[in-house]
Amino acid sequence: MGYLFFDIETNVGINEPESGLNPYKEESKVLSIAYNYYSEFKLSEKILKKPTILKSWESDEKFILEEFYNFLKIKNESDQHLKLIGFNHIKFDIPYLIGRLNINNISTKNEVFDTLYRVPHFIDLAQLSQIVNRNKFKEILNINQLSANRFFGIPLKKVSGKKVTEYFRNKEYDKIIEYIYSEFTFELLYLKLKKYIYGTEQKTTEAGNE
Amino acid sequence: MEQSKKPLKQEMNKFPELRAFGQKGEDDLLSFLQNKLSWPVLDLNYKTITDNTNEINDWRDYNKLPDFIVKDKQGLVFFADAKAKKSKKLLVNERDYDEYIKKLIWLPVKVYFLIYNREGTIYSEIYEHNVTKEKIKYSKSKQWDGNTTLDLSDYVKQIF
Repeated sequence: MGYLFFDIETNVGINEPESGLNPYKEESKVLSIAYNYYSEFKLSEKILKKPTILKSWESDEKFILEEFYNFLKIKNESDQHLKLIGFNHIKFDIPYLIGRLNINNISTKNEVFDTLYRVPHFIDLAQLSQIVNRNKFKEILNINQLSANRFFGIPLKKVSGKKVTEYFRNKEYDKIIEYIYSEFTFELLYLKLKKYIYGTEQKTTEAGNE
Repeated sequence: MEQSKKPLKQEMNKFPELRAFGQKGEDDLLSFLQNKLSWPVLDLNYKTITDNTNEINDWRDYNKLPDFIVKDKQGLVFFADAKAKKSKKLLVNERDYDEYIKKLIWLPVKVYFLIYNREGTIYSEIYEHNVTKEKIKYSKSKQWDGNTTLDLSDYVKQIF
C-alpha cells in the first residue's frame, strides 16, 4: 500500500543534447536517482521527509542503477500495491531507466520490464495536474511541474533541470543536491491534487466505485 | 558503597520489553541483509552482562560491539548495528554514537533503523546511516529518560 516517489536527473550531452531524454545515445547517462518510500496507507504532510539521493559521482551510473533496481525489486515483492509516483515518469523517467538498465546489463530485459513497469502501479502527477491547466482553449493540455506547483502554492525550484549537467561537468555536486531537494516536491503536489480532486472530505461513492 | 541512581527505563521495568524489541530488530536485519541483499553476514552475537539482566544499571562499564560484520556487494566490510523503532524519528543515544566512532579505527560502521508498526511485529522501512566522526552536525536533544540523542534523519539512505 506504499508510495514510492522518485525522480532522475540525466546527462545532456555536449554533442548530443537529446541524450538527456533518450537513453540510447552515446552520451546518455543517469546522473542521480532521488526517491522516497512511505509505507503508510494514507500520506500526510506531517510525515514528509527528505528523499534518498543515489549519486553517480560517488560511484558510477551502473552502481546507482543497480541500487535503485534492487530497492524496487524488493519493494515489489513485499508490497503488492506499491504506487510509483513521479512527474511525467510514465513518459520519461521509467522508459529512460529501462533503457539504461538494459544497456548496463543489470538484469534480463524480461525482469527489468516486470520490475519497472508491469508490477507496480503508477500515478503520474503530470497527467493529474492537467486538470488545473487553465488555458484559453478550455482543453486538457500538458502542464509542467512549475505551473502545477505555482497553482497550488508549492515552493518553486529556482533553476532549470538543464543546469544539472553543467553542475555535474563543473563538479559542483552540492548545487545538484540543492536542485534535487528544491525539485522534490512531489509528495506535496500529490496531497494538494488529492485534496483538489476529492475535496477536504472524501466522498463515499466515487465515480466508478458505486 | 553509594548506590547509583537507576535509569528511568529500568525503574519502569521497561528493559525486558525493549530488549526483546531490539532483538527482533537484529533478527530481522540479519535476515534482510542475508536473504534480500544476499550479503554475507557474521553475527557477532556478543552479549554483555547488561543484555541479560535488569539489575546492573551501569552498562557504561561494558564495551558493546555492533551486532554484525557485513560484506556488501562491492566488497566493503563494515560493522552493522540494528535499531528497531516504532516511529520515524531516527534518533540514537549520543553515548551509543560515541561507541560507534571508537569502532571506526577498525572498520566503517553503519547503523540500520528498522521502522515497525505500532505492535512492533512487522517492519516496513529500513534506513542506513554511515557513522562519521563529524558528530557535531547532528542535532542534539534531551529525552524524557534523561538520555541525550542525536537526530540522524537527514543523514540516511533508505534501503527498504
